[in-house]
Amino acid sequence: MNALKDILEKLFHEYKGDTPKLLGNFGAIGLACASIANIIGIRVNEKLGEKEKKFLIPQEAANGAINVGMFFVITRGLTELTRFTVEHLEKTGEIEFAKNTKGAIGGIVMVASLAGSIIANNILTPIIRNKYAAGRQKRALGLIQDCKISDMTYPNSGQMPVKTMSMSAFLTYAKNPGLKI
Amino acid sequence: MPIKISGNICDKLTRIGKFNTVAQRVALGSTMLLFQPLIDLNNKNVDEKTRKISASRSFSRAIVGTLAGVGVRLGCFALGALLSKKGRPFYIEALKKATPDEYNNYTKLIGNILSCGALVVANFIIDMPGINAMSNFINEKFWKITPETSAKKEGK
Repeated sequence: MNALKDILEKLFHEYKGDTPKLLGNFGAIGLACASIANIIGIRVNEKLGEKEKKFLIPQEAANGAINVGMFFVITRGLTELTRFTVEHLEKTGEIEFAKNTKGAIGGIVMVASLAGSIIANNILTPIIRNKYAAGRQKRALGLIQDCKISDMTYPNSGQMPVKTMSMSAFLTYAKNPGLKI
Repeated sequence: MPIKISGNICDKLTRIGKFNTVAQRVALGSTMLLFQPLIDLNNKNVDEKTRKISASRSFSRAIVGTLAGVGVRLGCFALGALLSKKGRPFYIEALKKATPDEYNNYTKLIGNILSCGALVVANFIIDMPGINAMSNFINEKFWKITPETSAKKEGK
């Protein structure tokens, strides 16, 4: 119980005046957990076809990873840059607050933090994750087609059922530069 | 010539500065609802069916995720405030000398710690089935996409 109180005392002094910093750290943890839950959700959803799952699963994985990365680069970057700029301008007298300077700066920083989150998580992340997931889906579907032996096309000989494939036919196929293993 | 911020704007900024994670979640959820399904529907790198299914998932995630997130956070903040009172488990000595703002931030901190744990659980017991159910409903009723059997059934 004393150990818990010690931790809480430390956290109190760490975060007592800095709500945006506190919110951000918890936000990043939440994003990662939500992504894991969503990947499991897609996997167990029996009403989704395999083709769509091959897009949705990498999309969700990328969503989690990019969101967390974006948060630390864009959201945190924009928040800290705004805080630094406004505090600097206030010190040099280039910006004057009529009252409650600390609270007003906190508000500007919060606006920057929210704007950063919206741009990073709701605009940039979906664009990047969609491109990545589409690539993964195409690769996965391409590999599946390559692996369907019954659909193989032989040079000069059209299609050939795998059960009747001769060694020479196999060698011809194996030497085909289009073969991917 | 310095930029002068009036007292009225300072008051508004101060109020914004005290936004908690509930307000943040609402702001993120509503913009997610606005942007992500549109971005998914305009993803020309995949076929139309995948685009629609992806958009319905983003839409459902924005609705279910925001509602669950806000509900869980509100509950945890109330619990955090309750548990931070004198004589309760999360009351600490430093609160004796704390200003009202510092006390308020501390109760938010406790609420956030509780909600962090609760949200992990909620992701699995509320969001996951909720998003699946809502997106399946949109796919079937709105997009008229016939539900597919699972991969195992398809493969056999």
